[in-house]
Amino acid sequence: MKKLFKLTFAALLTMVVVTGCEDILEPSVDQALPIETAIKTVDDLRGFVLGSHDIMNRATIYGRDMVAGVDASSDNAFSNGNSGRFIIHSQINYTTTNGYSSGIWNGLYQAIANANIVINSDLTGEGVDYVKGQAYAVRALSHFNLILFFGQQWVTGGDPNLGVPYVTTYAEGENYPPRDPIATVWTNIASDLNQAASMMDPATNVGVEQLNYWAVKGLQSRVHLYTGDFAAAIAAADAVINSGRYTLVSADGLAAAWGAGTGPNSLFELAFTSTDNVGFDNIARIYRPTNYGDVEATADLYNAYDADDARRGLLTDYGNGRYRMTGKYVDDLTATDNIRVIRYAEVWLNKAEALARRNSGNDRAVAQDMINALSAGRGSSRVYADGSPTSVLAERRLELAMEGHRFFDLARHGLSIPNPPIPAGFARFNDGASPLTFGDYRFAIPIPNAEMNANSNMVQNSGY
Amino acid sequence: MCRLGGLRIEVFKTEYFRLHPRAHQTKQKQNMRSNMFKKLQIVAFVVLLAPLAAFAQTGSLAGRVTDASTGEPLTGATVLVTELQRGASVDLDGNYRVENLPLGSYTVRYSYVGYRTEVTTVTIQSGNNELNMQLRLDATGLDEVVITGIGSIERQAFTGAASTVRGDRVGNLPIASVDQALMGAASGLTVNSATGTPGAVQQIRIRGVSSVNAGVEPLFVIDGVPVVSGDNASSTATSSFGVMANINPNDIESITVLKDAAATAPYGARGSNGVIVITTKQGRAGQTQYSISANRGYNNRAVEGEKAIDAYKYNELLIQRAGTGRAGWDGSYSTDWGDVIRNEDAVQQEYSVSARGGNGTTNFYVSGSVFGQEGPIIGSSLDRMTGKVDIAHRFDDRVRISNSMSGSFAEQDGFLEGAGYFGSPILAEYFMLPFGIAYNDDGTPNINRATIGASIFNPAFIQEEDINRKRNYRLLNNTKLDINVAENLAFTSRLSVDFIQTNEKYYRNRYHGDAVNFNGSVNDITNLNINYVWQNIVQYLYNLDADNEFTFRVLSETQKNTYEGLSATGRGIAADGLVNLNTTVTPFSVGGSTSDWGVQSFTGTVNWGWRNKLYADANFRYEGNSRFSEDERWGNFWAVGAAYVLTEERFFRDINWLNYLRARASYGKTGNASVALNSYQATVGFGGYNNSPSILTSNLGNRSLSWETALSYDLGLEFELFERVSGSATFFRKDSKDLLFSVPLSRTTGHTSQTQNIGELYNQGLEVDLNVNVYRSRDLSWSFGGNFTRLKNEVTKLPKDGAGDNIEITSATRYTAVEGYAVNTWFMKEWAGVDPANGDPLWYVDDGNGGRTTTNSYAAATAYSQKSGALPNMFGGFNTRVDFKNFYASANIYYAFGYKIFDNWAFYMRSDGAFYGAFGMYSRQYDRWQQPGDVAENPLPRPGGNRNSNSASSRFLYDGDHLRLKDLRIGYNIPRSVLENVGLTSANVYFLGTNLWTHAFDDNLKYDPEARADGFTSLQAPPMKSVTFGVILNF
Repeated sequence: MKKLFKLTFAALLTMVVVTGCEDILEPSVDQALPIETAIKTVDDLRGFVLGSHDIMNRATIYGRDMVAGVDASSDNAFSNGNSGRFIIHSQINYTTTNGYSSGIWNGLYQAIANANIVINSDLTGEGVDYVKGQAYAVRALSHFNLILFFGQQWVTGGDPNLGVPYVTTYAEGENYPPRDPIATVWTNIASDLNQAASMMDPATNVGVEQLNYWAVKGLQSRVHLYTGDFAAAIAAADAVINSGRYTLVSADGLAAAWGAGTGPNSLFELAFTSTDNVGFDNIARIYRPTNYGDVEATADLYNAYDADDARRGLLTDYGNGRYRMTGKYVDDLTATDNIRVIRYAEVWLNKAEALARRNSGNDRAVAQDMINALSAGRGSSRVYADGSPTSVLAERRLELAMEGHRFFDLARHGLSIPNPPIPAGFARFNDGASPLTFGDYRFAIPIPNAEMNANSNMVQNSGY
Repeated sequence: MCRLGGLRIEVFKTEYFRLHPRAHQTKQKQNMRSNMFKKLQIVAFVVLLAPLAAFAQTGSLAGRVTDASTGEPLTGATVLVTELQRGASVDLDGNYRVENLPLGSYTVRYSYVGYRTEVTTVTIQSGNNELNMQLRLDATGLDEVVITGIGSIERQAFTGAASTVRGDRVGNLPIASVDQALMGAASGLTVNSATGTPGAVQQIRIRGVSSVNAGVEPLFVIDGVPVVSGDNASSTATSSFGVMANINPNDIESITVLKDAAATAPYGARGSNGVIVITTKQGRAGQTQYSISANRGYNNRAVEGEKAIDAYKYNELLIQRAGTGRAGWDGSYSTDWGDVIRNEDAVQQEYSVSARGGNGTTNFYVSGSVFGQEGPIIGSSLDRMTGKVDIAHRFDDRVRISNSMSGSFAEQDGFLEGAGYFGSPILAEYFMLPFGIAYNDDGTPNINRATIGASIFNPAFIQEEDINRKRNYRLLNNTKLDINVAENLAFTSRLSVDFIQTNEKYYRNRYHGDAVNFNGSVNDITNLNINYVWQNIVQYLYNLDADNEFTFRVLSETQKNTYEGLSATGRGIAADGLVNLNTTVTPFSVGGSTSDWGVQSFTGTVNWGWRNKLYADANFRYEGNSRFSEDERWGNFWAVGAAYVLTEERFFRDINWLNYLRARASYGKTGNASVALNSYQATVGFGGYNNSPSILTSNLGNRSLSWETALSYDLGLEFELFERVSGSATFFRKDSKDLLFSVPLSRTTGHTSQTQNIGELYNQGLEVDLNVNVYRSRDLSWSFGGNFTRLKNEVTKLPKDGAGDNIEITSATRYTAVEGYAVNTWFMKEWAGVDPANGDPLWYVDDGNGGRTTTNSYAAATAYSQKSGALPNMFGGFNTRVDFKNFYASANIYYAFGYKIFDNWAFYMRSDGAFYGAFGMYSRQYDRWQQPGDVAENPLPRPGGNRNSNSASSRFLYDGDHLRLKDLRIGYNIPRSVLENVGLTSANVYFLGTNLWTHAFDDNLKYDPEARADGFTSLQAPPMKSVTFGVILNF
């Protein structure tokens, strides 16, 4: 009996112990992959670059907010609050906890993280250079946008040197970086764009929906314009203009070109497909008369166009002084409007502005010719009497309206943000009474609260 | 009954532990002691009769079982001859009879729900043996067993902290999810509902919130095995739907809430936030008992909530704000959208039947039920059908096998809620303009956007046409094998499968609403969750000597949970009424995913009992969890506990009024592993860009991620005084460390956070339970009781950033995690009212000299602690019951103090002009400043709002303190004389009112004070009050 007991007891104990098997505790990773196994081929690297594009597509970034928000906080547009959106932009009333700041900040740095994985990859082989070039361009473009929104370059009263952290590594190095000086950021952006251009073969055609050589040249013309390196801006613009790949779309074809969902002569646009888009958060639903429809154009913008200007036709007059941008973003239903990050017309205007501001020799005459050519090409009978920066800026406003440029274009020129009249009943910054004076703390948006909490090395922008 | 080391190892097994007759003697002795000798309730007469027949080698046992104080027969009480597992039920007159007992000495057990079980030894002689038994009410619950992970322990020997709720308290209630019934019924736990829509997940917190980022939900255990809880559906935009709504409350025998380390130890990490142990009804030897119950009731909002403004007042505000009223409104009507969406007198009904019986060798329990409840919002409802079969068969003295299977189907028709969805009827109630027109002249819902008056969809049409349906199919099977290897050695193996399939359908019509752009859409989602648990337990009883009894146990457990999901969306509805993917024009999107997790553990326990006076136990657990990397996967946890029955000592025994006194203490280390799956792994996710695959960083990973641990101790005292007052008091403290913390990272890393083991917090508190039997006689009895819980929570340590500063988690409204504050302490700018001079909003601001003054600048205002969080720090329940002849009445009152609720949508609803014209608003906006000197609730309305007056501040924060009559029950037991003629053993008709009365102490709080666990009102369906009529028949 005792022996039987012992045997049975031993058997049961064994059974208890062998119940376990280690496999139970090895988790499956079915939707994601460990990062170390994710990069095996150049296609995987390209996947990361496209992942950056995917991030930029978000409604909080290029998908909507970073475009509509910039115009809604300028003299081009205002918010009627129909769905409660873009009111803070219209009132220029940012707080450290609003989603606008965190959407842009978090998203762009995630795009940068993706780019850094590519840039720092050891992978070699055919096609790797081009993809790495794209990654450099992503990194430059993202930091460029970050400094426009968060940098203190246009704010007086704070530390004028505060840029944004320029991040070049992933998952190693500084997890809590301080803000880099503005000059450093601009230098790094220029350097990354140069690096990108040098690694990307102009002959490789990846389509306008990915960052490509010509887009990099276009971005160079924009960046150098912001930093005042006019010669470099002109050179970069010339590379595009002289390539013979692009022409200005005629007035007759303008509405159709926009209506096709793709911009006329884009150098780079972010693709939204019928199955991969931001849904109800698409930009057309904010601009067009939908059940969101918050952002309307100002009468000031509408009236700035000559009556013959085909670009005025992209706006719709709803009477009672109400106007909307309906022509550049048409598909509020299925959200397939591509977002044009950089178009040929902008490069054209970048060169004109660089000439106007360099103002050496016959620069302004050339600038005058360029803007008159653009204006006439759009069917306008307006003729600019000079090639001054003011004239170029006026034409730039007309061409790039509602594409996310206006606030920064004014700021870049050191101008205050005008406060043109809007229909009664809607609120506006400074109660609609006065312009936002250049140098006001609101020329930068606040560093998000969550970043401030997480990173004690981070310094908040003046005024927030 | 064997009581070795104070342990009772479930009824079945006890019969085999026969080797220590002394144990029985001990039990008997103990019974006498605890009864103080003076009121010995066992009156046993063993009458010897001469054998009537020479061949009679058997005898019978018969007698009466009555209530010791009233002499009432205890119909339905059970008499069990434990050695033979044979027994009988007590009949209507209180008599019982067990025939054909072989001659010999037996242990006989007399038990009845709510009474103390009595065990005695009888010697059966040939012929008739008579034994009458009087049972005492079990006021203290001393005789209850505490159902823990690996068996049950008599309360006297149990060293942990637990509260038990009897099944009759959770059955036949107008609630869809059984865990709702725990509110106020047990000390130490709070129950919040995600929404008032029937079937919603209940947010239960046991002894506070002990983690910041890791899970805080308790573990649910049904019949000994961990099961799935929470929500198995994918959609979070629609009404919450918990899998606990699939359980039939009438199948529940009892619910035990395990609270401290010693009690939850057998469940390891999964039980670190407490364990809710549900024990279902099992077969029982004796004549088959049938039960039928039915109830029907009507439900309405328990609290009306904020009222939307009418058109006339609204127009006045518009005129004041900008000089002009509503364009196009003729002043002849006002639409109350609250009326449009209300489902007045929502019907709920429930029918259930069960049968329970067995012959001792094979016992069974079978039940079926149907439950239906409409929600407070038009178009919302829950329907449930359940069935349960439980069979246990004893092959011989050594082997028993049992299987319990329940199948259920629950369907919820919900709606978009919980956020600002345009299709949400709750949003519509407040955000629609009263100028809008709800119905056309012909009575059909108006879907003309121009005349609806806002961008929001007409809920009358949406609720009628769209489908937001979730269905849960749940099959819970539990197979158990018991082998008694030797007289003091037993082996148990248990295999449980919890299978849940959730089918979701979201149909959007093509005329009005979210999918007009695509001519309608259909989204079908299927989720499968399979959870299996295999437990093996070996237990060994050992008696060192007459005084020392030991029980040793070894338990191994494996749990694996796998999940599969599939989702597809089609757009373009072919024709009205076609709601399947096959009939959509365009396949729009598909998605599928799988995930899994596993837990494995080995536990050893030892229990020691000394002379029924002193008990101690210790356990150790080695547990592995797939959420951690190989190096960190396994953790060691332990707990020790002791209990001392002071009234066993001579000194206390001599105090006449002190019937019982027991002290207990426990201390242990638990772990919490509820972090997101795959958290330790650095991973990238996959998506698409322009029809090509894209890769995105998704998780930074942390190889050193490991268990969150907590050291907790628990001190308790239980007592019974004057034979009518009983209760307990418990003090506890739980120090959690290595908190699984989503440490915020600088976003410049590309990630928002990394899960790390950093941070410490503690919870401490006091729980008191008290019951008083004021009066008790044959015709009248009155009792009352209550429980009280006080909680304190504080974060004591936080992660540091590069510069050595604390990384805090804060928002505009609260301190989620800040050192020195409780988790989720409201912390915001403080409202100072409206400036009577000019109608400006005012907030408080520090004046720099230690005092404070007011400012009309929101930006300049100082944020202050509002000194409370989202969960009450003091709460509990009162109950009372009166029985008079065949009538009875009972009431339960729930109370909660020390928490606040933030109105998350006041930003829009009390915007002081910012959203005038676009959205509706609360009626209370009408009380606004108009001229100098006005003392108004709201500032002057201005276009664009008045100086950010609607931004988050204490203006929208309300005290949640409240009293609520949770239920009021009045019933009548139909007299036996009437029933005998129709063959019933008992019949009961009752009226039940739930949430009939609510008193909120803050007059400004218009919403129901029962908010979500996070403290924010969030456009969700309100809790309901109901009146129910029911009948219960037993035969």
